[in-house]
This record gives sequence, structure tokens and C-alpha cells, in this order.
Amino acid sequence: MEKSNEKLLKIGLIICLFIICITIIGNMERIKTTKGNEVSNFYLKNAVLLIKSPNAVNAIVWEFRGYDTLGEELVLITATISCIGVLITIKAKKEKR
Amino acid sequence: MDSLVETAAYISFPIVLLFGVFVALHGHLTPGGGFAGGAIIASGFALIIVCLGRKSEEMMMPERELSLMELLSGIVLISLIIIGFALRKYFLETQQMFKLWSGEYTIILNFVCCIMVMYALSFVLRRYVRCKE
Repeated sequence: MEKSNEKLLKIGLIICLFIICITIIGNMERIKTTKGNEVSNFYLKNAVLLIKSPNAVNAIVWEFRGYDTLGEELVLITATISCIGVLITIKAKKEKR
Repeated sequence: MDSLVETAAYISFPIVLLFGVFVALHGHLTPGGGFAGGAIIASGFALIIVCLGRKSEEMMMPERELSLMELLSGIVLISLIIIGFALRKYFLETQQMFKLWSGEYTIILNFVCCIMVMYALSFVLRRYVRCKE
């Protein structure tokens, strides 16, 4: 039972890698030509004008994509809470033994 | 630990703290930001745990204070992001380009984010050390 599960897992991983490779190769030309990247030009031009921040990365992270960062923070809090929960249960099991 | 290592930790810990705060506060002018600054400060606390032991680190930051600050900074950050768009024009009036007080309210967000990341990482680190004992 366990061996067949491992085989399925390996096949699934190979298929996932294949799909990722195909998407990257298919979008290579778009990345080079910046044809579909008008938003990046907007960010670079307006980071200094609108936000008055020379660091464009920070302007994107906190201003243009502020709600994205909000989700990121929630992920960090959730990861911390789950980490602490796992470590507490491990310690409780150790003390029982 | 060896007294040489302890002295080195005592000397380098304030410098690490200062560098972390610098990276977080100048996030909108130079490369870096809240996440990077918080991670640097948390690595300073990791240095204290490794060199001086767990108990001296716990004396610096009591458990209750740690969890309270984590909670507070998380609430402040999330509420600032949500209501931040209303505060924009009040900040922009007084700000000057290429000075510390610039970049809308990103300077406040960076600092609060730095505090939150620092407390979160050091909390996980402390629990891990306590679990391994």
C-alpha cells in the first residue's frame, strides 16, 4: 500500500515539474520583450512621483500592493502560531515519556 | 560558554540591534525594509541564545511582554494597512524627498512590521530551544 502511494507521489511531482517547465518556456518571449509588463513601467515611473520613495521595491510592497502585504503578514502570524503549537505538543509528548 | 565568546556577544549585540533598526527605518530610501530589519534583530537574539544561554535571553524579553507586543504590533499593522489610504494626504504635505521623513506612511509600516517580524521569529526560536532541551 505504501509503495504504490510513493509511486503515485513521484508521478504527480514529475507532472507538476513538467507543467511548470512548459509555462516558463512558453512565457520566455513575453518576459524578454516586456510587452505584457506595462504595469512595471507604471510602478517605476510613479514610485518617486506619487509615493516620494526612491526605493521602488518598498513603494510596491507597501503602497501599490498593500493588501498583498496584509495577506503576507497574516501568513506570518499563522505560521508562528502553528509552529508554537507543534513545538508545544512535541514537548508535552517528551515529558510524558 | 567561554568568556571570550561571551564578551564578543556582549559587544556585537547592540551593533546588530542598531543595524536592524537602521535597515527598517531607512527601508524607503535604501535596500531593505521591515522584514529584513526584523530578521536581523531576531538573529541578534539568536546570537544571545547561542552564546549566553536561554535564561539570559528570557531575562531580556519576558514571555508575557513578548506575546503582548506581538499581538499589539500585528493589530496596529493590519489596521494601518486597512485605513492607510485615508491618511495619505496628511502625510504627503509635510514630507520632503530623499529625507528620512518621506515615502508617505511606509516609514511607520516598515517600523511596525520590523517589530512584528522580530517578535515572531524570536518567539519561534525560543520555543524551539526550549523543546530541544
